[in-house]
Amino acid sequence: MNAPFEGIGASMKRKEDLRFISGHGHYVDDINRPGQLYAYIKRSDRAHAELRGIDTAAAKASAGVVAVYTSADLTGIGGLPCGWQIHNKDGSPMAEPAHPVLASGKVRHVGDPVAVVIAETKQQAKDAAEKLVVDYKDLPAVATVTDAVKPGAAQVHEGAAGNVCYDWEIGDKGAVDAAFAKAAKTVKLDLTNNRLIPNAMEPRAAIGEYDPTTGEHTLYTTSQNPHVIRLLMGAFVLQIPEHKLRVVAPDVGGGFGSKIYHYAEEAIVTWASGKLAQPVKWAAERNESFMSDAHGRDHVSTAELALAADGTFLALRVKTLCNMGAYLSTFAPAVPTYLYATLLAGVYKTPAIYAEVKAVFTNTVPVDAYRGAGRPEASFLLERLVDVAARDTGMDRVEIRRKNFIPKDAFPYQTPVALQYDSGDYVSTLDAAMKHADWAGFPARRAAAKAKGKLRGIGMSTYLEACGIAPSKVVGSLGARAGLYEVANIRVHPTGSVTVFTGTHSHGQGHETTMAQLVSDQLGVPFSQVEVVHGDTSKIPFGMGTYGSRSLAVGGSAMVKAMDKIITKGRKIAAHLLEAAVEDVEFKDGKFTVAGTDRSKTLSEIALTAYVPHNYPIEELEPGLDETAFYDPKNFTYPGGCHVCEVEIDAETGVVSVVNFTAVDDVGRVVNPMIVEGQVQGGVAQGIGQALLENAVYDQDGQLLSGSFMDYTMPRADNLPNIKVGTETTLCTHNPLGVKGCGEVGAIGSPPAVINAVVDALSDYGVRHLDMPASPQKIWSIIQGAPRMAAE
Amino acid sequence: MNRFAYASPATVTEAAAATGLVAEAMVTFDESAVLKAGGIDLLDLLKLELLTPSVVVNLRAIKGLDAITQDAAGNVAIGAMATLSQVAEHPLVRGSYPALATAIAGAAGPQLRNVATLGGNLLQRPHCWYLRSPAHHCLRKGGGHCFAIHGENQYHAIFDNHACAIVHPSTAATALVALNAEVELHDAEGATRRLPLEDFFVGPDDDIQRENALRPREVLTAIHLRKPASGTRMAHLRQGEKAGFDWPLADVAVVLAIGPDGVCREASVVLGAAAPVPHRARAAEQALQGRHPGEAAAGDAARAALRGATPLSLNAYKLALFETLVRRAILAALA
Amino acid sequence: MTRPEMAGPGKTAITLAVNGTSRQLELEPRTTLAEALRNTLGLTGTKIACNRGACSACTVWLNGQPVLSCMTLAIDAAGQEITTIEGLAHGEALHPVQDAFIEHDAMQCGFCTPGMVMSCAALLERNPHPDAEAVRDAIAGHYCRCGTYPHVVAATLAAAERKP
Repeated sequence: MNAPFEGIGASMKRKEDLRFISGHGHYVDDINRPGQLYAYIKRSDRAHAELRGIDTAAAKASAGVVAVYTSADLTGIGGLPCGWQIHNKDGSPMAEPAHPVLASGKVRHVGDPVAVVIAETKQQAKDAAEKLVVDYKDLPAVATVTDAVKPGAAQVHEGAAGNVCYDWEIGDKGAVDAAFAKAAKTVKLDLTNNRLIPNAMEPRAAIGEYDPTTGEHTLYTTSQNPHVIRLLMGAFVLQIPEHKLRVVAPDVGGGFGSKIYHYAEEAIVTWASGKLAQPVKWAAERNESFMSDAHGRDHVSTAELALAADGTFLALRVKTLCNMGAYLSTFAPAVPTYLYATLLAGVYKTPAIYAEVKAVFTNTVPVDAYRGAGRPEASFLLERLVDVAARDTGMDRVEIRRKNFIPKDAFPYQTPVALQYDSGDYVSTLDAAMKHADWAGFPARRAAAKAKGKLRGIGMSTYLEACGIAPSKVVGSLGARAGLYEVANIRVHPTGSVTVFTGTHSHGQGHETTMAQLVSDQLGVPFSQVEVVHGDTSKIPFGMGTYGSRSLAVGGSAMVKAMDKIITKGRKIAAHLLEAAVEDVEFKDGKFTVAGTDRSKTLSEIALTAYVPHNYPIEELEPGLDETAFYDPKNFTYPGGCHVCEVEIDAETGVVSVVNFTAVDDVGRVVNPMIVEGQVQGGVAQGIGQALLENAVYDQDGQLLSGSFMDYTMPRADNLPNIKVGTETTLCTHNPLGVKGCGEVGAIGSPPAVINAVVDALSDYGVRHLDMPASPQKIWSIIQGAPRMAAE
Repeated sequence: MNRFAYASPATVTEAAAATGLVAEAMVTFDESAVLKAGGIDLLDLLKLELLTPSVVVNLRAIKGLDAITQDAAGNVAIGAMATLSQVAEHPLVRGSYPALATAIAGAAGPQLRNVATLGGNLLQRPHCWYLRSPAHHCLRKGGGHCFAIHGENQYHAIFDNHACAIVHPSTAATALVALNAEVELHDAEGATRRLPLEDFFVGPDDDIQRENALRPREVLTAIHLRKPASGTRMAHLRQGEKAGFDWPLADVAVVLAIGPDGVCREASVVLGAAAPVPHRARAAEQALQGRHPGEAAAGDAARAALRGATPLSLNAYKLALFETLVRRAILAALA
Repeated sequence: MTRPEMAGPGKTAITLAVNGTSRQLELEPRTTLAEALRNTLGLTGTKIACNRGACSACTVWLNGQPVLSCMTLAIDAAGQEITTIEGLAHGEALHPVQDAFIEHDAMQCGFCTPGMVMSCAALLERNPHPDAEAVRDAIAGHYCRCGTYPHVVAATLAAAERKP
């Protein structure tokens, strides 16, 4: 009887689910340490003000209060570092203003932390914080990028003239200008990418703990990358050496980017627990999440495309203003540059591209990577522009895409904006998506909808993205202050079970399952005998965490490298036991076999020998079967695909319903199809949210109005259609698994598909473009032409 | 939430008298005691610290306040403490007042409907994001002006919005006003009074800091509905940005009394999320009365319903939305 | 005129019946049921994600009905039977909805999951054979940022099939 198939390609049920489903998940706020105190952060309710003083006397005298700290108390503590330095067009470095842990001198956004109260209970800390008297002198504030760059705009930082963080460019301006000068047609589009709030369901939380007898600090935190936090906080903020600082990120309830960054509260609880020699917990309330978790997107762009008479793309010119918020979050500067402008070739062989990106400070929450990070901005701009080009030139939307696709025999393909794509087949994903979505049958569905008084539209996007940002040498030359490799430690235990220690993390992607499948597959060990451990710097050698859909492509590849070492060593042990030459020993399905014979040893037997080395080549080989590998990828991976969206609009109310959605993605090799489907559906849900519902609304004074779950509208169960998910695979050519990444494709491919469908539905109204979210208000205004005043 | 004491009186009179009590929806933001029905909106206001009472008076221990009964004449009384689930699922409500059942069944989600009460729903405070923001000291909180009128007013009023642009938050109220419901109020001396729900709500022109006519030491105890005349047809429709669990952008209740000859004798057309109080569209009602209602009359009434509207900078879209909903609600009532 | 008895504002004795066990607590009246479950009783399976009644992550049962524990005062739950996610399974045997959630990949990060399961299980108690629309209505108040809704609906329908 064959064993059930559990390896790469099997839809294994998730190992993590039993604890989640029974209420035994282990999230930071579920942890309580003996003698734990609670911190409450007093935050600015002003968008921009001088901080003239804080009277802490009444708060300090409040029941249960142990300490009250303001910036004056944080002597010797550094500011929060930024992990990426961008250079201006003229070669000078970006403006990089200080980002204090607690505001000092000025507050710059609503939510800026000004003081921390530590008390015996959370409620006591909160009650005492009410008694802090903060003396502010209000300053004029600026909330949007367009306002921030106006002459005379309020200045967020003294060191950033005109509120500009950097003014950066990429591509060949001369070639683009020349192409535009001689183009048969040009198309221009102004568009925005709406500001989003990630809103992972688990609010951020942190617990600091200090052991005075060993001098060791422990930080439990809701993080996607505990080692990065240890490095940034230890080295730059608190100057705690790594060997005395343990960072634990247990189960994390969603992140979507927002839990990558090093936040002030992590430093505060670590520092305060050391000072008080008692554990200190902080857990965000949802309103704090809204005003302190990094937001996403927020671009205003102009895009121009030059075309030949036959519709061939000749050149692309893009100018983007992007919002950094009030301070630079950990990876913020990289998002609108190396994760956005470098993606502007998309799936098209446009020969010349030039992009200018100006990053701007405003009195808003810092903006950083959110699911997709830069690539959704690029795909939205490009896929809208291509639809508009088709419309303006009278070409078919599908044909203009096919005509300009990078053909599948052109790989590796060097784009004009730095990236080199390794593999892809954009025709295959397009054809499959059109087939699954029944694109050809759409006219009949449109006619049927019209008969019921509904406007039906169909739209597509043929997007491309880049995952697993790398290699370290290249990102270093582009301004990254970190390496972007990954680490795996594979420990084969004496009786043959395996523990895998990975430097990546999981905040819902099911890595405990997929990574176990991968190891089970490669080592021939039963799935149930493989355990994946992540999220604890005291267990895992090092790691860069999870973001940019990197965990399998980079973390999984590190595992393969570590397993290669296990197998290499295992062959030597097997050769010794089987009295054969090492070269003659093959490893397959968990067995070391002398080629051409039936003499073999299982991995368990080899492991036992390695740990009980009685009959062992001890002169040449150390005992044990435990290997670590660091893997630095040669390149990004390039998932891509085609999303097709079909909407119906009630012309009388402006309400849009997504009635069909088809996603066909090339995510490289699929390890667990069930999990891939969930990841794609989840990404599409967030993409539909961006396209139709979500919008962070600031008023002119920098107050966040959409600051609750009732005011910031996200998709619920009734907003999502049945999302059909398919895959068409080309393998990544430069990593050992051929995987590309699936965590973000849904959020990258779907927004332009939705808006292209909405615009198509409104084609009778002469609509060329509308910005996200496509709210009933906007649709109705388009249908009506201009806002009508009161009847009669 | 501030610290508060908790009282659980056994009778309405005791509840009304217990302290200087006032009902949750009419208190200014620093009253010393509040009544708690289901407590959903109250807890929200407490968590925002827009209310910081010294005493919360729980009404749930009072027996009989959640009864739904019918008298010999066929009139129905709904106890103020009946939960939204109880009301929406009750055969008397579903049978005689389906528009009310629909309006309530579409409110919030099932978990909240299991706890929220009809009385509390009518008395909840508006969901204006300026009103609920601690950072905005608006007119209704004793401040200098309404931030919405020149601000982010996409969800705000299109009628009676020159002083304060809140919209009434209750879809149940839209249906109940259309049904000419009355509220029963009980004071600390044990006296009761009844008044039409329509008159119970207070607009900003009458008093900017209150939303209803509840007096100090008065408790809303019941909602009374007359037996519908034979030939009564009704419907409630809502439209939000999302299908479920969202405040409506617009909601409309229509109640039509159709004679045996097919002529509309009486019409109620009420718009919710349109004005600071449920907005009775009299011109729409007149457009229906005395006519054989159908597509044409529905269209006329729908257009008439928006007469006198004064949309703000960002909410003119509501005109079309309401026009459509009114027409559809009339046709749905007739269907 | 009699005056009603007052509790608080300081800590007051409250008895809660949680998962079949009677628990004596000392709580301020302002304590929510969610806080009492998590912080005082250590039943951290119940999650607080918005604390304002807008996401349903904190759903528990009161006398078998799903309610939001973040919008319920603990003192109001006295005298009612409280069931939390920790009390849903019968010993080792998961509730059919829990089994179906695993089978249908109906969770990702797991944070909204306990509340989601309580709502779906309550639906099946009330309506053993719901359609997809009824499931969507039962979870209309939930937020799942991971976007598992289609799988949650499929799982609940499958659990209904499986239930005797």
